[in-house]
Amino acid sequence: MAEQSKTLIEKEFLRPEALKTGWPWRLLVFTIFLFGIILLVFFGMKIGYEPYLDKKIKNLDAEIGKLSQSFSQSEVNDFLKFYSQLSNLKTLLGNHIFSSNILKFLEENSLKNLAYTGLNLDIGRRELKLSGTVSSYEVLSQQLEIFRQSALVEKSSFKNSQQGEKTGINFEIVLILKSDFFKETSILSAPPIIPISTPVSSTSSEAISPTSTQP
Amino acid sequence: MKYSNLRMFSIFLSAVFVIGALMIFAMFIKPAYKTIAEKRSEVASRESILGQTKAVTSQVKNILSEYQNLSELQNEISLSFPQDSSVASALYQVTSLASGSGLNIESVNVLESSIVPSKEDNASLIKGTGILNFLLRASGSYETLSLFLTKAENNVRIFDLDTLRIDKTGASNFFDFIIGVNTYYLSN
Repeated sequence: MAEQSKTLIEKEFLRPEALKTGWPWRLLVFTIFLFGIILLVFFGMKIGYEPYLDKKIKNLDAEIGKLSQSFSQSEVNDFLKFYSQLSNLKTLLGNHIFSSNILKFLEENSLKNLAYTGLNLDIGRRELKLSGTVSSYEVLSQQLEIFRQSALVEKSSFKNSQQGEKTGINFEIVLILKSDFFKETSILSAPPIIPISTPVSSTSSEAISPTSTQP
Repeated sequence: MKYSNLRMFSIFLSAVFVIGALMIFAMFIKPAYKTIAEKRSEVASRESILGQTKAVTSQVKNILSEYQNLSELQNEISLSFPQDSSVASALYQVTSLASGSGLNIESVNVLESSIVPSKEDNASLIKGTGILNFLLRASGSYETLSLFLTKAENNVRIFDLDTLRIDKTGASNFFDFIIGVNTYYLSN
């Protein structure tokens, strides 16, 4: 009896397990699901998102175009003209030439006994050529020193001199003026130059400016 | 069908789906994503342009509405710096200044110089400056010249002295003058 029950238990528990075999449907379902998701993403991008972006770009372009047409071209042109006028006028007024400064300068920086007979001014080159007559070389050298010391003169050079028949010594001087010479305030800001010694002699009536001035 | 065959077929089918998914990703989704990224950046840049255009438009509208009320100022500015060369007006002004100062005008030449472009930052928008050069041959006293230069530098239309030549003539305090003056206008 005991042997018989042992055999039954052995039969029941000790026999090798039989594995159930079938097709792996879970793997198949998962890959189908994955494939479906990929397709969905692709069609979502191609049919949904891309046309949406195209439409948005078109709308934005239309809106930008509409905004740029919100005022007429003639209005813009008129305004640009006005703006150009203002801008150019600002520049022109900033560079405006106060030409009377040249006469003031000569009046304030020329010796009494010196007469100018000619003047040639080129404002673009800031070059002033002066010719005149003077009684002596001493006066001429004093005049040159006055120009040399002037804060409004960048460079002064003596070109030539010649003893005239009646009028004393004829001379020619070239001055290079400072860049702010023709500005409104240049004459006011420059202190007048006082010569070391001013020779006293009769004032020439033929002078361009110094006849009525004293340095 | 036997189970073993069914299993093999199932594994084969799974592999086909996986490979198919990978191929769709590589061949279609990746390029499509690139296209979409480009379009998104286009949208972003257009949105930025639209924002800037809106701001500029509102500013321009304000300026234009203010400009409509500045016609008087514009007329005054045009007297100093006209929108065209206005040679006749400039000639009248320069000769009036000269004769009003006491200079005897012998001749007047007018030369139109080339346009000077603006040196401002936004020079592409700003029109350049045209220059009219008047060359006056005149005679008179030192005082008349001084008066002319003072009047010219304070004239409403801008006159800038360009060249000046003074030569002594025979008579006392009487000179020959060659006066070059520039006046300006807005080029078109």
